[in-house]
Amino acid sequence: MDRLTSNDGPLTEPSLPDPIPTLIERSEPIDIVVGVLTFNDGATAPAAARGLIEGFRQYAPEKRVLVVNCDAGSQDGTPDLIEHAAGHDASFWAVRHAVSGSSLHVLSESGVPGRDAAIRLLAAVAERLTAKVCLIVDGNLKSAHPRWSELLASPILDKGADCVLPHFSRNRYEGTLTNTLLAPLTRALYGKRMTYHQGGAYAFSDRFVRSLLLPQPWDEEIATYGIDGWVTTLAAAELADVYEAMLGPRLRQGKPMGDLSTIIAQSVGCIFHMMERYQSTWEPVTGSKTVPMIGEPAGLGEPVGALHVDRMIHGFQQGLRDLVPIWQIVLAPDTFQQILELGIDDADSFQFPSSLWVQVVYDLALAYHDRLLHREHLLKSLTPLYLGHTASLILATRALPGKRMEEELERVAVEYETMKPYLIQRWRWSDE
Amino acid sequence: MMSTDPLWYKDAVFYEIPVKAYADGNGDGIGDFQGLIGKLDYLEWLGVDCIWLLPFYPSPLRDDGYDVADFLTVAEQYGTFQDVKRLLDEAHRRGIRVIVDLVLNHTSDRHAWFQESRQSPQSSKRGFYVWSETDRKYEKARIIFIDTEKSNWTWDPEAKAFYWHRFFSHQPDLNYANPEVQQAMLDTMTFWLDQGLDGFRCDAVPYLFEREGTICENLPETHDYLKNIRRRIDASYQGRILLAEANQWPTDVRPYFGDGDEFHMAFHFPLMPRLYMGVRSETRDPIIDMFTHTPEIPPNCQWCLFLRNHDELTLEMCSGEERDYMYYTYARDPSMRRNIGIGRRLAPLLDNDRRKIELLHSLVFTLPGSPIIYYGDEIGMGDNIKLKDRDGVRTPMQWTMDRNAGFSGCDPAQLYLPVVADAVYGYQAVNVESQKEAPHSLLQWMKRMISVRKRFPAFGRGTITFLRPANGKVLAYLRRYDDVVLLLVHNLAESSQAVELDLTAFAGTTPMEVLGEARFPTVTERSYVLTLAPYGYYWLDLTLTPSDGAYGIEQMVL
Repeated sequence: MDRLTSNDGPLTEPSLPDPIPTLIERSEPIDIVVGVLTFNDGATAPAAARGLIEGFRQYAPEKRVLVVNCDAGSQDGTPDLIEHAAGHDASFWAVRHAVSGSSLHVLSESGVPGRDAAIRLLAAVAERLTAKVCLIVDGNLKSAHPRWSELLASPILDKGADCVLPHFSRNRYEGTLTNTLLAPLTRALYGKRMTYHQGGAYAFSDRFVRSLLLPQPWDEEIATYGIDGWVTTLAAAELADVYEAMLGPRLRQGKPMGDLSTIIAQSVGCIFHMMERYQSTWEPVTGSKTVPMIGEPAGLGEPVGALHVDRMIHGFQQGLRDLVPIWQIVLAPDTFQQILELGIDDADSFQFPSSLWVQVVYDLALAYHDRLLHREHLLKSLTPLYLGHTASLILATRALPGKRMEEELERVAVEYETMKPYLIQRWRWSDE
Repeated sequence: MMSTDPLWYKDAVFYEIPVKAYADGNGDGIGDFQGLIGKLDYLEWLGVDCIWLLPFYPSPLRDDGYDVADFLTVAEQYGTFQDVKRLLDEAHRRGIRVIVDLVLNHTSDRHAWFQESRQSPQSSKRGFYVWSETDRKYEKARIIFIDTEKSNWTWDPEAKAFYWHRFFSHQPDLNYANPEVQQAMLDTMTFWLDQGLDGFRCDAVPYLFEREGTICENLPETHDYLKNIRRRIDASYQGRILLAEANQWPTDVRPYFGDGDEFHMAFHFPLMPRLYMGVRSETRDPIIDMFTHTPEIPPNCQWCLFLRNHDELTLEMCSGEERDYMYYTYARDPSMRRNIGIGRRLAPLLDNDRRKIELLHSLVFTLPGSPIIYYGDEIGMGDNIKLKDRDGVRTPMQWTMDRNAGFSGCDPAQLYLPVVADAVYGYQAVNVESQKEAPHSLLQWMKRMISVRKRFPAFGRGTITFLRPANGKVLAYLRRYDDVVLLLVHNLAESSQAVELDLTAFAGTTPMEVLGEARFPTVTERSYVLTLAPYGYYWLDLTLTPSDGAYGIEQMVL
């Protein structure tokens, strides 16, 4: 079923900076737009762009490829370096996307400020050029490979998919927030078992591009810090034909992403925000289905350093000391009571049951919906609880084989689905 | 509300007040209890937890009240017994405790006990003092007031005998070898505790007993008696404290804490001049050395730290070389010297340099112990070195720019001492009223620092670990208590300094500057570099918070 009908509405194309309109007018037809998002990524972006161009030469040499570098104002000559790397095998445009004052302080997964504006700009360029595929890749990736071109574009070009999301090889404890909240919550809500790996690389069909250009969420704050979550949720909720491409590991040139509570607030806030928008979509959904996958598992995830479980438990216990008044407001009495009881455990026997964790997440989603507190405070109060659950998960699985870890995460995901009526029931009460 | 914690004194900020110098309630030119009661709101506003009152007992005032003529009443010029009780009630209502000076070692020669004692060898009070037919006993005991006293013995023509005194000759020492004296002073203490006093600052405690062949200081029998006092207090009173004045090396003061069963607190005398030395010589060594020589004390005990008090800045616990250095750097004018020390207030000692005043306060607020602020130092009051003895640092508190600094409505000629009126420190320029109005005044800074200090029990109760960065002009140490770790960094130099600190044990922590709640760069496995303004300081909280990058998952949660 194709729900991408909403793109019949008015599109809100961003104003394209010079000389892009002129270039579009003069451009020959383009099949594939490859957008490279950069901010001082001279060390990695040229190789990434070159690799994708090479990949298209091998996979679809007949396709006309345009590389568009959306840069946030690099000081290291990134656009010139990419242009040089692209050579004559693809057309190349460079554009500096808008970066508002506030977004300078918002570092996205890619480390590119104004990432939402860049994606919107690329979508607009792709739409104006009537490209079949708009492929977007982060310039800070060290692991971009020529085969990504085919993995990302072929589901759209060959199988009529609307959106191809990345599926990266990961180490056991990489992406704990994604694995214990973002992905399973999205799965429970929209019925799609997506890995919810944000950023890195996407491919969008022309139809999906049009839906990206709908007014929402561009005028909302959510776009500034949650564009990746928005894209992923859009793919899940609009019931588009979604694929996941197994791209191997995602190795990045490190950039600070901000403090933990901000990352949590932004990523979880995006999902909660979208729950309001898609309430009628997710309410009737029961169960879940896998999404089609392309590619083969390859490589290992990003290296994981030392994990300080004791500090995580300490972080949880500090939350118990400092945030009880907030938790008392945002959590259901039964949830709150169970959380208080966890504070009695010593570090060695610390256990934060997954069922309780899911209950916490659903309570917070309801509190967010009901605006029981300033939303940022509410979301940041999740941080110690996340630390507690993560610590518990690590304690329970670190001596087990990797397969058992996957089974544990599957149990968490099933818990979200099983407890979804808890969410729906309370959500309805609150709406009444 | 007063804290019910029996260890309240470990977190408290103390404030020293001579009643006569603080506020005059009846307009006679002398401060009194009525005036002091009127200033309790100010002390509460400032954040003071406990006030220490200098002696207010009847006295001929030849040693500013430390020559007590009657332990059980109140000097007429300060008010009545009822005034004291009202002060206690009003202070307690504001959450402020009150301790008072108790001069255990001696009395005034006007005290009834001495008058009766000198009358005849058969007097019932004869044994209350140490009499001798010769002045050749206890010759190993040093003379403390060397600039006024030639001997520890003085001939009394009426008694026709010599009497023993460790301080002024008009202050005969009580004879603690006499059980009646022991009981009489115990009764004195319980009398005041029954009125609601929260404890005593016990004056000159090392000298209570004498024994031939010794220096007559710190004798075991003294400790036995003090332990007896403590037992009596603990048995009948809750939350009362004993604070020892023992101008001794820390190792010699240590026995006064006993096993936590003698004094609750004691002044750390030798540290004080070394704080001044450290700043003037721009090196942390004197300060760290002093802590190296400071033994552990029982967990229910506490050091009292101070920068100045009603006496001279004592240099008794300094070597000859150190003393010369202090005189050279802080008292070149001989008229500034008193006994073995310097008779100046804090602000003039530090050239009225706000940066140095803040720096030294930051040190006494953050080193192990409870700070005591000497009245007027919170506004940077000056002194008058032309006044005799130690009166130069005991001038009226400067409340306003009005007549007599707002201290009294009397004719200025009637004041017990003239107010400071010079161009720099005069009451027109330095007073509470104007500094309360100025948001960045020293007074407002003090209030803020006291308030911040109270947020962290680590200052009063935590352990200390000195860091040893290569830059010796920077004094840095960690204070730890429970899960809290504070990093205190002080630049002792008058030039900007950079320092590299080894904080690898805290890698991943994001230090929070607690005064401004500003986040500093996250600590990594590499040296942590800080730059400090001249005489600058940082109070940094290294305690892990959920937002710190210290869990190993921060950069890969998504």
